[in-house]
Amino acid sequence: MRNCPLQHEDSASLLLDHSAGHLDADQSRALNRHAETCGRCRAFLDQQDRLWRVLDAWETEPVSFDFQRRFWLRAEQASAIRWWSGISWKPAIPLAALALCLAIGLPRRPTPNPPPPVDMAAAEAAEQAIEDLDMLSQLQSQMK
Amino acid sequence: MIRRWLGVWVLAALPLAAAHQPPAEREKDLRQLPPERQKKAQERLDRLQKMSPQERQRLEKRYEEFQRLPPEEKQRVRAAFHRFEALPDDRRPKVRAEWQRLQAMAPAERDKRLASPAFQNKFNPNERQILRDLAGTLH
Amino acid sequence: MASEPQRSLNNGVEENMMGVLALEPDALLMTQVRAGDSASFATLLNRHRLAVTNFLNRMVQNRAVAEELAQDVFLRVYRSRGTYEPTARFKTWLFRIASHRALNWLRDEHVRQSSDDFSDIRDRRPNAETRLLQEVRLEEVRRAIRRLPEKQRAAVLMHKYQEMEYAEIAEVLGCSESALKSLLFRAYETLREQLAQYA
Repeated sequence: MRNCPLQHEDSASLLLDHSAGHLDADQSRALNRHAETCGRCRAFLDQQDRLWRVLDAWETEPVSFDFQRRFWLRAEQASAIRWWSGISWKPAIPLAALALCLAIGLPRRPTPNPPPPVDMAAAEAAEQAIEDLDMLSQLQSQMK
Repeated sequence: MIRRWLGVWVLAALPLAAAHQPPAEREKDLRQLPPERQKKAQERLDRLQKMSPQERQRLEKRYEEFQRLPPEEKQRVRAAFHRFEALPDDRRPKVRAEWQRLQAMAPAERDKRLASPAFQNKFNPNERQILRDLAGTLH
Repeated sequence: MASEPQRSLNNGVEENMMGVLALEPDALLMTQVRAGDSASFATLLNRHRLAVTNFLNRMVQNRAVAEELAQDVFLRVYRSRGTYEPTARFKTWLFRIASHRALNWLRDEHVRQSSDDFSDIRDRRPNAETRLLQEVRLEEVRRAIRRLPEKQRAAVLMHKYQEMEYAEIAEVLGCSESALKSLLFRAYETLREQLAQYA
């Protein structure tokens, strides 16, 4: 690489891309070779790497669990206000569907049947199911 | 020992092969387990019990979807989750953030991201595999 | 019946649009919303709510406000479904609305004038296990970002935390790619200086 990227702001973004890992292997190698002999670029890359690590400390947070419910309520209110204002605009959300969104889910109740004989297989199946539920709930909370 | 009244909704929601068992019968099943495993199951049930009704509803739906996966895929997701839990403390948030980002993408975009140099450079092989295995699960 | 050149032109436009849609699943979903399919909007909402809320939270540094603004953004998108045209990537359009919303809020609230008093707008998460040094570092990151001019702030947040491409960010902010790169270069230079001791 003949010209130093830091000579122009336009090409300096290459260094940013390199430190963020966005360049392909050939471009990265070329920049690394240049940085071996260019103190300015080396310093830039070192400082930028440290900055990325510091910025990484600002992690994402979950969205409120009722975000979507509140959104649809607002959408419905907005459509009701427009209708009352005389604007001809049919709400796209059937109210039944909205009610469904708002309803609290009830756990399923199994129909009582004569209990089968207790055995280890059933115990392990129950154990696995609880483990899966727990795993999915943890993944669900990571997704918020 | 599995305590009584430890989350009737959880036990009721378990779609076991011997379905339609009342929760009390499922408690009996779990008591067949060795004490250490009973204790672990108890801890999990305690955690699940704390969920709000809305979270519960979402979880039941996710569980139904999970159950529809072929056995080897279920196993792959379980293994990926365990490997995720075993990640160092400072790596887990980064992998989690990337997973959240991948979940928000359409499949084609997700595949592009998984193949990109940025992704390859950001994560080590174990982390990349975790993300590949978990990507696309839980919508 | 259209003449041959007209049919070619029509087909060309249609092919172009289909080209956009073929590349852009979210734009396709939005056209379905336009046709009355609210379930497709629920999918878009689910897909993008976290990214939009986190972007807004980092812009305004108030979780409750960020969620309200995010709701505003999605409401704006939903309300305009009847006239939606896929002329840009959906995410670009979404973040353009989100950026404008955030910038308007910041100007109305004059947050930058109180940038040294972060206690009022710091998130109060009920986190029992706060490690002091990491908390201090995190507060300094927030402060440094808050001190950036708003457009630089938006550019950094989209570049660093949303990992958006230069072209996309430029389109969101309504500037050229070259201008955006300058903006980012200056922003990161400021951040490197301000956060050097925390690295």
